[in-house]
Amino acid sequence: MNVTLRNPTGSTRILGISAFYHDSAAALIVDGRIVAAAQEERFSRVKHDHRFPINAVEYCLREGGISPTDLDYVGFYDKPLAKFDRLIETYVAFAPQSFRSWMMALPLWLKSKLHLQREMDLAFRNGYRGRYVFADHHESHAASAFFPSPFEEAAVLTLDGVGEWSTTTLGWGRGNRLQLTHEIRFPHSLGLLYSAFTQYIGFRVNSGEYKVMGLAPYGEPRFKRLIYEHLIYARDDGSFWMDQSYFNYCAGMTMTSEKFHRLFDGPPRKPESTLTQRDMDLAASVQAVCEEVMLNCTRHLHKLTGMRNLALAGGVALNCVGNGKILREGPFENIWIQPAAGDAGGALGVALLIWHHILAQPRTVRAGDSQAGSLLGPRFGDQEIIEFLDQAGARYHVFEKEKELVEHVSDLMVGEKVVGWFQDRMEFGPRALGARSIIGDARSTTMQAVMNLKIKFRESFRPFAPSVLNEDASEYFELHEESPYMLLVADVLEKHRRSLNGTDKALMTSDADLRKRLNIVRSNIPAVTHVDYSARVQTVDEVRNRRFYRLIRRFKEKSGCSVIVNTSFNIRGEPIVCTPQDAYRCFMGTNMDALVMENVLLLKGEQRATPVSEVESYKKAFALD
Amino acid sequence: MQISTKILLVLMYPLLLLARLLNLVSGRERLRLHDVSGGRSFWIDRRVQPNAISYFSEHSCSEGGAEASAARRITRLLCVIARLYKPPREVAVGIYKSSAEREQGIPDEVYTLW
Repeated sequence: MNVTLRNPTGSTRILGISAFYHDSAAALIVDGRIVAAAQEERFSRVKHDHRFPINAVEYCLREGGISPTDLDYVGFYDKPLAKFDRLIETYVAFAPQSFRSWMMALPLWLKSKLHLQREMDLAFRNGYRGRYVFADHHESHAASAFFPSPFEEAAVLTLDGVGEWSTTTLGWGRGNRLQLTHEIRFPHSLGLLYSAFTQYIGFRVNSGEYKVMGLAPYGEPRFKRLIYEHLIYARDDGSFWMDQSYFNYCAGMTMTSEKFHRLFDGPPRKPESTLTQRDMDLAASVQAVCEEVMLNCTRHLHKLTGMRNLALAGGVALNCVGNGKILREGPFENIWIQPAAGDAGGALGVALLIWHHILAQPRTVRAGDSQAGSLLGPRFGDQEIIEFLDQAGARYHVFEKEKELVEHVSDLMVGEKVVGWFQDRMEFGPRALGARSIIGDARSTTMQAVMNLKIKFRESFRPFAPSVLNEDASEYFELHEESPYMLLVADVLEKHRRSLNGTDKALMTSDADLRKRLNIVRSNIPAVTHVDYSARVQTVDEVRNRRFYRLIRRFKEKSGCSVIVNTSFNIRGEPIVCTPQDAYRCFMGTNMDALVMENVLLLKGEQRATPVSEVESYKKAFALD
Repeated sequence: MQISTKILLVLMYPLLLLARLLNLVSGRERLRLHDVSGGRSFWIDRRVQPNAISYFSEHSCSEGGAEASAARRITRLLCVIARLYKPPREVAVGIYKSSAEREQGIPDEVYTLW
């Protein structure tokens, strides 16, 4: 077959899509510039929505002012037939145990996944006339990591659960070229090992991994040796092999097998039941293994490439504790991690791959990066917000000048009020970065408990994340690099720590209630300090974060502290808010004190009371994650 | 699930057992379920790099390797059978839904692998 690639003249519009597994998303690039990117869950309000991202596609096209007929290329982030090949090979290898899984999976493939091009035609209502491009799953990840990075050349590492066959890949990028050179194949997967423990500890796979990471500091890695001796045989070069007799994900409906349960002396923890010290030790152990393997991979990759820079993507790259370790102890001078490192980022990756690698278009490296602060989603103007608020019967204040708004909001924060902050374009990726955030004073000793119980409706053992002025980050944290996407963990500096008294020390080792342990005031910024003094830091600068930066700067002028609490604008189980309607609903359904949407401020005390039934139905609308 | 699809899948499953047997006899094992590294690295070279043509295919020239396996025949057979299920080209009225929205009762952890 001869394929002539279109030689781009004028504008070339490329749409990237990831769908049908989890976290479906769409991204539009025009002449290599990222115009829009968004996850479907934000529009559909279904967390980790796996369906075709019809709403995200519609948004991207609207943002670009085009229709499907104007698209030059549509790229899909993986190769369905290669994945099907892996699936059938697995069912054969595990027959007859694979029978149940076979009966459940095959109808999806026969009816839908094996007809992806037709499905996409239908989704575009036959409006797209071009051909579809398919990239390998890890190539899409790698492209999402390298092409927007601030590096002319970089070593590339991708780690996730699984794509088609690969679970881990090594490679390099230079200019507009990208090449993956080595891989580890399914079923041997660091991501799936982590997910297996996630399920075993009683959390949901694909969303509970953060909880395992957050639980780890409470434990001791006393099972690490057991993991290395039985589950994963790891080499010094970062490669590994996993004994599948301990796992059940190849052929069954769970992640772990009975043999796994026997190894760790018990069945999986029931979701929502009390966490024991053993659960914490398990979390600490798998986290330690994950960090060591990640670190060894980067050392090996450095030897292979001799490069100074590292670009990272794949779901495991969301393990910000591991990332922090790579930064501190790894051989690379600089690292850049795709903010949407999970499957959603594959949509952006495949679009950039088409432009740079397949169409061979030059790449301009930008200072910082080309991700534009990852603020790539929809924005809503004052007019639209006010029209909605009038319909809803809300009381609000409109500020003509940003300075006055910032003045007012920073006052609220100094007064320990909890503020919903809805500004600018929505973030692309799992983190709230100051566009769809709930913010508060990090110095407050009660902020953590208030936000968890009255806003998030959860009893969390994890602290909130800090947003800090970029220029002041090293004043508070052991961090000398930018962390604009909240993907690095760093320790709170000694000078900000407070020593624990005898009662607190006893509480740390004996109290089964992790909230009590977390709520011990152990630093000057207790709301964002974990039990091991670590913090998941976002550095905020004026170029990327604009008004959010100016707000923190004003807060600092008033309080002397340039760190604030930043948590995602949602309740437990809910996707981060997208529209003013979502934000208002969350504001009214929780105990948030104020809501700021662009130049419009709402104060809770001025609103009508929300009926209890409405609050309850709001809370029940989302399955717990 | 349609009853005819169910019957088809039940009838086909013995082929998987047969393929497993053939793979066992011929020593083919693409999943590397047994550690055969002999202490060497587990990294696998990605020898074949994608080219311009390969990007227009749903097959991968880089992923999965070229090792023989009896499972490949079953995969090909299923791809042929799948043609019977191909959704019609006509666009349905209303919001688009894929032909097989995820069926109930499939846990996240396994769906993500399919």
